[in-house]
Amino acid sequence: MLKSVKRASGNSPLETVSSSLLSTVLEPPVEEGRLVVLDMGLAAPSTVRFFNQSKCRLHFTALIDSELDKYNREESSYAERVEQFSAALNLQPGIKIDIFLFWDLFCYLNKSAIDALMEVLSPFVHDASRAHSIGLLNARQQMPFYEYGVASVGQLSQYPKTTFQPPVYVHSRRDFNKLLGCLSVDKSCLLADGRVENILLVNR
Amino acid sequence: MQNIVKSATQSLRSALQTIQHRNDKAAEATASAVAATNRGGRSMIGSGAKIEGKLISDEDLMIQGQVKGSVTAKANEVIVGVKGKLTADIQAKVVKVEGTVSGDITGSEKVIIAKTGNVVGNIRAPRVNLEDGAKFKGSIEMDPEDMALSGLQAKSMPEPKTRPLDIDAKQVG
Repeated sequence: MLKSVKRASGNSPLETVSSSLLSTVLEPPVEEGRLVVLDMGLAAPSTVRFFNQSKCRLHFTALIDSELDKYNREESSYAERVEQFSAALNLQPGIKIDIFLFWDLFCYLNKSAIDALMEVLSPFVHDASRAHSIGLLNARQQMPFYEYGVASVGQLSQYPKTTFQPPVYVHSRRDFNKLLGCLSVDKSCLLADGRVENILLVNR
Repeated sequence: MQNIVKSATQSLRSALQTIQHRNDKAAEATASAVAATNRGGRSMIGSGAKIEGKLISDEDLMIQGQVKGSVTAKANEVIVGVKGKLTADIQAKVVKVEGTVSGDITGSEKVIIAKTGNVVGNIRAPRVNLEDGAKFKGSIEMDPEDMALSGLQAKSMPEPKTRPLDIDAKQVG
């Protein structure tokens, strides 16, 4: 179920934020064929603009904008969660994703949900896959509620959301790394408002 | 101006000839759909029209009504207006969505989702523009190199042989 997301238009409160790590995700060239990108949000205009010059396939799952409660329910089994994520992502079997843009999705999922999500994504990861995610520095910080996009190689775009913010789960770096399965945090860097951005690479 | 009126009259006459062969309900829907055809050299499906079936156009098309099925205007532009609601695949040279579309969109030149647009489906085009405020869920397949290719194809495209507006439709709802 897609929640109604009011996004900035007209006199847009769109902001851009410098990112030290985004270039690590975006710059490595794809050797041949099409760049395949999986974005867990709705399509941000800036992201589509950024990739406009590339031969690419962009998948916008809008998972962040869906009803996330169902994935976090304690009474759901692991198999049920896996089934729910598979249905929501609806990825074509056999494709390989070059770039995962998780944005702040992991902040709104509990450990069981992240575990199930990564299980669903693992067949789509290849050796050179890379990912970007945003988290909180610590549990004392408030998570700002934005919709994210790529503004440029070194800049994120963020659109304030006006919908109800789901409960936030703060995961320690150690727990987070365990949950990521085939991926792990390679680098982290501070962002504004008590956030950190992470680069996730494939475990070797 | 005279040419526009003449062209509009011809298109309307052609479309009306087409609907004579349909059943009464379909004819009603089609007549309603083409009632406002060819405003400013562009066919229009009015906001009161509900069409189910294949819609093929050899001229630019503005849709403000509801369409279920498919819309094809390979060498022309299709605009889904703010009031337009489509559960349909769209294939055109340029597609602009200001309303709601659930279906796959193919633009041989460009696809634009305006700030009022809401699309769930897959888009394939050399270039895709999303305006601030646009909502899109699905996949986008872009290849700027196809742009040059589509330009060449458009130049060498033969004159259309089909009727200006061919609606194979039945009334719904």
